[in-house]
Amino acid sequence: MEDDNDQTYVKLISAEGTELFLERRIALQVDTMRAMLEGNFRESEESVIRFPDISGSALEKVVKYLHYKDRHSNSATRIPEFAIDPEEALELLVAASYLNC
Amino acid sequence: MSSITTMATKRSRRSQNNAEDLPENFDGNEQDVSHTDVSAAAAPGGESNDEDDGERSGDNPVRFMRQRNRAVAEREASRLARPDAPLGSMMLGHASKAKSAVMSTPFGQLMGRKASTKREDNISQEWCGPFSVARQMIAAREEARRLREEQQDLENNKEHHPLDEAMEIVNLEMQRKENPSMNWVSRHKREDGSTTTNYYAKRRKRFHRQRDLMGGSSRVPSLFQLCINLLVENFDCIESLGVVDHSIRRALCETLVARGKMNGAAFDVLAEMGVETLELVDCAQVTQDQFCDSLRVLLPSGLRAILLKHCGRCFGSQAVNVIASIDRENMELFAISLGGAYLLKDSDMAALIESTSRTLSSLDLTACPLLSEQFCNAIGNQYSSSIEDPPNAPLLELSIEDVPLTKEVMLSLGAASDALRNLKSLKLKTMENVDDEVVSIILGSITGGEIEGIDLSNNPSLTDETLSSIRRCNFNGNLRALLLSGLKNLTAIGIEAFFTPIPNFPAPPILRKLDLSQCSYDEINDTVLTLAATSSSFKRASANAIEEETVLHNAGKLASEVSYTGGLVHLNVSGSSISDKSMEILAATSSYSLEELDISFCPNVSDKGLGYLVSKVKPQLSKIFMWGCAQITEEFLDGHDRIEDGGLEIIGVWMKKSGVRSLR
Repeated sequence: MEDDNDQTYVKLISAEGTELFLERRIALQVDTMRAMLEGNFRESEESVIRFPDISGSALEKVVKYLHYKDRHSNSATRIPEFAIDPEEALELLVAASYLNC
Repeated sequence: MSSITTMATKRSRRSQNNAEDLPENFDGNEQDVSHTDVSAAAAPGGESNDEDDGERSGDNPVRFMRQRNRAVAEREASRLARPDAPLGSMMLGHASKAKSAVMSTPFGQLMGRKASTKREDNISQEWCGPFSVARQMIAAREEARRLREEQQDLENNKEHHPLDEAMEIVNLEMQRKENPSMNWVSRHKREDGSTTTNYYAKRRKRFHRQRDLMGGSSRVPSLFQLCINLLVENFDCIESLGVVDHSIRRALCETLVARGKMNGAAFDVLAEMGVETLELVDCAQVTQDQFCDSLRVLLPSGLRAILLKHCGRCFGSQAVNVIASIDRENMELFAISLGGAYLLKDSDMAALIESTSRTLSSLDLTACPLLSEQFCNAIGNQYSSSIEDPPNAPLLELSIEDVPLTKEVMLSLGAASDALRNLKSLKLKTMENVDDEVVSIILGSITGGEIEGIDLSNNPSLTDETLSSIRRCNFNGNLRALLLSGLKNLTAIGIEAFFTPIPNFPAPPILRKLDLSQCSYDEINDTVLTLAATSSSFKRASANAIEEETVLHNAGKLASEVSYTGGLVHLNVSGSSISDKSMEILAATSSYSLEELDISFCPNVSDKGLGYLVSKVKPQLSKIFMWGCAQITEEFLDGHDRIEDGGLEIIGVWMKKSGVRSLR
């Protein structure tokens, strides 16, 4: 459910202000996000993380990747490829480097 | 008897059909009868083959050759397989060496008969060849073992005193009190029911458990890696990277090199205007012209560091000229690191230093074979304090590895001027002419007392004198890292003295990183490590020799004396004779600081010692290297205290890099 008080989802806000929702447990797998959510930061109380340097499309792709990784971790079957558009690759690379994922 | 005649007929037929030199004396002595029986039994197939063969030998010479060879083998095999068995019992009249047709064997040439009389002692004379060496070693080993077992029996047969057992128990109790590690109990429960000791399965399980705990599903590649791969695949389409972090550029460079895609165009993209650091892991594909063009653009726009490996092709006179032609006011280079610059001449290097000395503080040269005295003179001239206007940057880091400088040149480096006075880090590795005198002069010229790291690895002629020089130059006590790997001439006494307070001498260093790997096995022992660990754990370097003495030897008392802020952080003692006692000392002195430990190839460290160490050291301990430690069993590997939390990486027990998918 999209109930923030329940704390099962976190909200990610991109540079343009677009909002994305991500399951908390998946967000905790990302080092940077976990640090923000577990420390004594405002993000942890509100369950909102702002990324003023990452654009909306890149953030969306990051969320897609996180779902892909969560789905296929510890999976014994062959893992399908995660397609990335060459044009967005560079921006995605900077985002991935920042998030360390 | 009929079989004998059949054999005789066969042999005569064979001798008719080929030119082989068959032994003549096929008489009727006992040995021959036994041989005949043997061969008759052994070669029923051969005989029948011979019969067929008699008819068809003309048609099939290959098959005939094969059978002939087989007969020879059968005849000679029993003798060849046991070359040092008493010849008398095995020798057969027609198969004696003197008359044997076979002079060469798979195991080497037969050299002669004289050895047979003194067989036991002169096995070496009988044969020569690689296999014989192995045989000699095996014989020697067996001999030694036999002698040892005899001695053992001798001891065991000594008289037993009725109180022996009681004494043993008392001794054991005393040992347990002194060595707390003996009481450590592993969490691993030995399953007595399991009959399989399938090491492969056990190790695989261990590997998977470690990989899972360390957050790895290494099967799903990280987003970072995916993007890098995609960019590298299509690198020709990239015009510019824009403002990206240096770590991204470096990752791209490494992947380009790994894929073999590093070429001129790629280099242009990586080295675009505005980068602060030019770091190339492998410049083999970059031409000198291209490199110079890039430099012309980059240097005025704020290039601060040049870090190149395998840069022989691109870094030569032309590159140095470009650097030299830049105005000194615009020069901002503060670090240069060159690996493998085989075109870099001595005079060029001197010019380079002259043109960059205003800002250059860090110099790192590896495998540059042409450097020699002009380079050292340049350092001496440019960084000496006599240059006041404009003052040059202080030289803070100097690292020279594998450069063939002569002794005189190196002496002049230290003695000519005070260029090295501000040095914080000195590395002189793998240079054959570095000896005690050179080290003493160079270290002596570091008068600023700021030295923090010394690395003198792999200089074979260094001895304990070096330790005294190191101690003398550390008069401010700032030394934190000491790497003395591969120095075979260091002795235990020397190192112990190094870590012992001596009146009127600078105090022993408080180290955080110590590397004594690959030194002499016997010399790096428990006492050495005890002293090193305790001196690193005191808060302040203490020059009082007497009070230290009493504290040093009791691990229990030690724990209450040492500070919680001290202790070793990185320790490498691979290839040494340390034992569990060292593990206890480490646990007592460095339990709040130890992060990485390398005890590869240390045969005296056991499960109990390691288990005790892991249980006492706090969670910052993240890596233990134990290559070549076959004595560590599952008692430790499956039963140490940090199995569950996954923060401790044990490297060296499973031949895969942890966390990385193996190639299967």
